[in-house]
Amino acid sequence: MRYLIIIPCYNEALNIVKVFEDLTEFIGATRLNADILAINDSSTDNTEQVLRENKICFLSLPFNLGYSGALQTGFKYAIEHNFDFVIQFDGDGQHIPTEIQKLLNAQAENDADIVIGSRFILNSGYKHGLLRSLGTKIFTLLINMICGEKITDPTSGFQILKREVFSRYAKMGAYPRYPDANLVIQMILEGFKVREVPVKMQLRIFGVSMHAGFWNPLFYMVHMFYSIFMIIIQYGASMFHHQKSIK
Amino acid sequence: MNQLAFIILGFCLLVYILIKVKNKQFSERESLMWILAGAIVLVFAVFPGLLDFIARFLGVYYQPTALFLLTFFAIILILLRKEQQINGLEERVKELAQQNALIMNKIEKFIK
Repeated sequence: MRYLIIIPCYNEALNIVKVFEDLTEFIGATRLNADILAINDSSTDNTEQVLRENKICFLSLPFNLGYSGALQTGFKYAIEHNFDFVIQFDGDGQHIPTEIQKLLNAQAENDADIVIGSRFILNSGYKHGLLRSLGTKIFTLLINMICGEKITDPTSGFQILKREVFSRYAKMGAYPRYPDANLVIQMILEGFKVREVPVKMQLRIFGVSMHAGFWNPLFYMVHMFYSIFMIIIQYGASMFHHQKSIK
Repeated sequence: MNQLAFIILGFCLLVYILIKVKNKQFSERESLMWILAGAIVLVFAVFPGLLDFIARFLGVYYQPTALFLLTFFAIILILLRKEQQINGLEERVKELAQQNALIMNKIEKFIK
């Protein structure tokens, strides 16, 4: 099995080398057949130069496409190079490479299509803002109501995806701007097997998160509700069948 | 006099759009909608009774209000169409940017 670890980077010059070194160490120790690919989302700092100097394999987007656009580029690369699995990994130092093993184990045990690393199943020590943790709880509840499954951390970018899943994402005409609860719901309703596993995460080392400030999370919430509403309209019938099959 | 002013206005609009199309500054397909708008202005100017009829039909007592209402709906329709086109273009531009990144990666590997 071949794995591709994709790391979307936007202005991560200060974090990326450490992330890459830790990942390389993990791959060496576990002898995982994995490649690492950074996707430089048209950073305005010297991320590209740092990637080049450290001989990290990377793609460079000609202009900023945002987190989801960068991810999707990685999926397309994985298809072109015939990888079996994609591991999504953040470039800001939030994700801990050794925790990948937990995702791998969960994937193998359940033959899951998507495995999400969750900060909230066990107390991982990760602290969220009040608004965001409330938001996460609401989305967990929504996923449960719509799909009948418990996903505690739909915003987690720490995931393993099977080839069928990332092929689907790569070809999605409108891959969502925020691929979170909305996408989890859509994939469950499309019949993909989604599992969660508790992982530890740490706060980013340098720089600012894309969800920082007051307006960004607020806009995110409104956007996400709307996106879920659209999925309900689109997948109304399969929602009914899915809940029936669970019962 | 008022009617003549409107006829001139509608006529100018039509000529302006046709010149733009002729100079290839405006695609034929896109100009069709504007030609239609120009033609409607001209028709209303030549037959003001028509606007009267429409206003009465819509239950609007003040004639110009009916005109504003129609114009407003026409503009909303055009805006929606533009939004749809921008969305489509955004998707295509995104696809191109992604393909560009993938190809650049291949070229760099090839050069090495």
